[in-house]
Amino acid sequence: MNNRLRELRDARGWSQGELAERLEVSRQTINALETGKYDPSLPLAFRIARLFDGRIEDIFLPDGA
Amino acid sequence: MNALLARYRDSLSPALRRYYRASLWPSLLFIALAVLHKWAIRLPGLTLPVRLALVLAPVLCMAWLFACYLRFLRDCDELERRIELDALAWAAGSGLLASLVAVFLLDAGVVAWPARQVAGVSGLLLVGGYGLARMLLRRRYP
Repeated sequence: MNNRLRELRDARGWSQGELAERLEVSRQTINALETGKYDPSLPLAFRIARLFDGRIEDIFLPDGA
Repeated sequence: MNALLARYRDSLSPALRRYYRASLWPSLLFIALAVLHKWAIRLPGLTLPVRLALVLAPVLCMAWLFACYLRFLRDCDELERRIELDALAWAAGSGLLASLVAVFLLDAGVVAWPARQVAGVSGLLLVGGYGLARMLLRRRYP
């Protein structure tokens, strides 16, 4: 699954560590999400969407989309 | 050296930092009680309750450490939990296979290892397998 996490984080000028703190996860998790090595659980995907004032489908895109 | 340590500390998640802090005392106590057990169990004239206490004390410390680990598993984030559970599964699977091999080799009379050594090595394999699997899995998610 692809996502726009890095793009959204860069737009707000946050580091991976800052985003990790805001989402209450480790920096390792943010890096794994941004590089597409890990897909988040539904609760974490909702937290991310809420933080960026968007919908899950605006941030996470299925493969090939 | 201090900068390296600080960088390492910063790379740890809050849950892992809490776990390392919480596990310090049970680990130190376990080592001390295991050494005491090794030394005292050979003393002549020990009563059965004292012997049992010497056996159970390090085991209870390990149980304390395990409780700290379970708390860490509850507190850590989802990727960390996935890494931990994968590492535990790999360690349990390979430990079980190694135990089976040892049992069948002993049954067939191919080897004549003392039971104490087999039990000790099985425990070490379990812990070592967990550590190795965890290290490899963590490298997958830098």
